[in-house]
Amino acid sequence: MSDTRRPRRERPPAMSGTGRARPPHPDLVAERVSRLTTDALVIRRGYLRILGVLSGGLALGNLAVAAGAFRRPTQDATAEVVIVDDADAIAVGGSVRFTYPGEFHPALLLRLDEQTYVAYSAVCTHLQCEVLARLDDNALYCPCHEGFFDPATGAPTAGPPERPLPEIALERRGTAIVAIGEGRLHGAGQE
Amino acid sequence: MAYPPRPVRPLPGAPAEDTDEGARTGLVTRIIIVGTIVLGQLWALTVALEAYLLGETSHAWGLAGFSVTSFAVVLLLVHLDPAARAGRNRPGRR
Repeated sequence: MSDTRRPRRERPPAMSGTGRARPPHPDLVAERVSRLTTDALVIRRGYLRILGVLSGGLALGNLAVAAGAFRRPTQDATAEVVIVDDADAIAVGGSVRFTYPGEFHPALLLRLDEQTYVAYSAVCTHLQCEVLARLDDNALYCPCHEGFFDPATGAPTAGPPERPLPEIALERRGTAIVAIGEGRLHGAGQE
Repeated sequence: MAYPPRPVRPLPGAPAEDTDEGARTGLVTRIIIVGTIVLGQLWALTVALEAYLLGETSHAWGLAGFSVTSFAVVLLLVHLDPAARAGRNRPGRR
């Protein structure tokens, strides 16, 4: 059976008559050297474990993103919303704000010319502020961080946004204009 | 006449002994590799989010697969402990 007792603590060096200190016990020296070198390894192993936990969190986050934890406001929208009953009431170069698909999701209907109507989600793709229509300047404008989008395509033209505004598909029913779902995502090259 | 004891040395071809310096170097190497992998996972997460929001869900799933694979490699490196395998753990070492 091995002796598990720790070596006795070092006493203050006893001064001999000649003034010379006695050296500490060799077991005590060995224990202290072992403790110093072991602690450094334990700390490094702690770093490794922290990095392992971080890696697991990132993997989970990536799975959540792919599974749809962060969705576009108009994604998979199937609701049909009548935006205006009389499309001709909107002047060329004019706009109408509405909400689609829910009441907390602002959107913009634009009349670009006599026959062309387009609608976009008005949630800025940078940091979710509401985008405003500035058709006099031929732009959709996000006032939070000076982001600009092209009214014809929804693509970002200036400022921090990098993704286009999701288009909302429209349908003409008589004189009315109805939003029927998500339209093209220009940046993804979809038609 | 008494001779001093000769130092004991391993025979030629004998496996190298583990040393504290070796364990420390291996640990730091694993930390650097794992840190690099974690940086790659951060990149994958940002690109996957951008791809998903652009409607490219297949890219997002591909990047998620990359991230999970990276995590598996990290797990392997975290649990790969030559010191523990050699049974050299001293009291107080975890």
